[in-house]
Amino acid sequence: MMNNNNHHPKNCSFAEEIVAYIYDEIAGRDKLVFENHLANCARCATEVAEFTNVSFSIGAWRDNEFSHLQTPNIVIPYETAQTNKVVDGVSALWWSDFRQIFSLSPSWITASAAMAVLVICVGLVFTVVKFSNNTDVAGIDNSAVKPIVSPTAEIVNNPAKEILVENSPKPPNDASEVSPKVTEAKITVKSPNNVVKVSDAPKSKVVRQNSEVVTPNKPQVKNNQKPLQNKKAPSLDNFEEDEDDSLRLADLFAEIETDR
Amino acid sequence: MLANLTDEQLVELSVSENPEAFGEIVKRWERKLFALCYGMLNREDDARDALQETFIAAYRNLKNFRGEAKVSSWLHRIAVNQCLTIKRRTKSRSEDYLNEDESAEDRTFIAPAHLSPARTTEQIERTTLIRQAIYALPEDLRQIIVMKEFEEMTFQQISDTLELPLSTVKSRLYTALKQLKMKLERTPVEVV
Repeated sequence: MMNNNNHHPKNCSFAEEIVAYIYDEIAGRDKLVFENHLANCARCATEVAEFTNVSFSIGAWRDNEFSHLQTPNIVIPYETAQTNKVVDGVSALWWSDFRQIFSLSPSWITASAAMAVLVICVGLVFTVVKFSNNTDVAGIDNSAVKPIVSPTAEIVNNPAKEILVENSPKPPNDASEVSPKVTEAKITVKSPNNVVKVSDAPKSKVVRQNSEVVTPNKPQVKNNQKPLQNKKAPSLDNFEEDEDDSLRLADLFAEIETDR
Repeated sequence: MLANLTDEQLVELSVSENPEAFGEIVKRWERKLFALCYGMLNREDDARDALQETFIAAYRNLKNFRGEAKVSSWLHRIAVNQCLTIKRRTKSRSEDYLNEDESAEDRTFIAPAHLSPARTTEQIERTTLIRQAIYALPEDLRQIIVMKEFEEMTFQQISDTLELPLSTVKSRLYTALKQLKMKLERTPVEVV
């Protein structure tokens, strides 16, 4: 491969040895042979000098402009790269982005839970307010709802209770809510068998006093059952009478007006 | 543990969605590829973009990597392709930005303290000339000279990376140096 006796530039074929020598990647016998050739070949010697100068210039460029540069931080979007696959013709990228929004911070979970609790509380408040409004329309305190017992039967079967009721202290809340017209009215309640006049005992008052006998904490369903066990079960006729109460109250109001 | 593995083993781990393994590949090659990109593009910003795109492209194509080629060859090929893409994109913005005064002014040059101002000026001009000369080389020659001078790879490493015979690498380097010498001779440096 080496041509030691070639002193003519046109025939010199040491190109590979020249670059290897410049970059110090030639050693051993090959290096000795090439150095002997350089001593006899002006062209090769000139090229080694010129190429060394070029290499030095490139090195200066590298040292001056590149060496001091910081290697940039490489950011590989691992999640995006892995999820950027086409699934059933639809890119899953949007889904990963959507999920990423909620995975940004765990405060999302706390905020969601707080929001849910708030919504439930507001819903409960609205329900309670709505329910209380419905009962206020009828002019009856919701807490004093009585079991469905015919007042006629109540009074007829337990006359002593009526006295007890009249002597017992009146709950302060009830007094404020009952219409004065109603409390002063004389209510005539008709039963299928007999007619009972309840003087100065408004129906609403009687009903409320009866509610004190029943434990207020107990559910309403039980309140309905207790009196029914001890007392006569209301017949269908009694319910019809209750339904007619509103009509008779109107008549009573008319009577009151006429009395005045 | 990862540092003891070969590039090929790291790629296998990365394929099985192990980000740390790919991180080790990035760590091994980022400086050399940055040098390659800088030498090919002559601009820091472009070199950074090319490097970033190189690793992203490599990560996305991990499953397409076949063990027939070396990882270094594969990464270099991707890097060179990214450099060519960015160069085309840059050319579309400006036909030859190297000739613009603005790009020359933007470059930072740290002068060695021992050099006189006259010597510094000469070196700046020399650097500018060599940069332009390298940029004007054909792609295959420029790639070889950048790998040799910037990445400081041996001929054998370049041969393995580019999958070229050793003699081809040397002859291309010889041709590149010869062309550079001729370009520098045509535009002699004015000594202040």
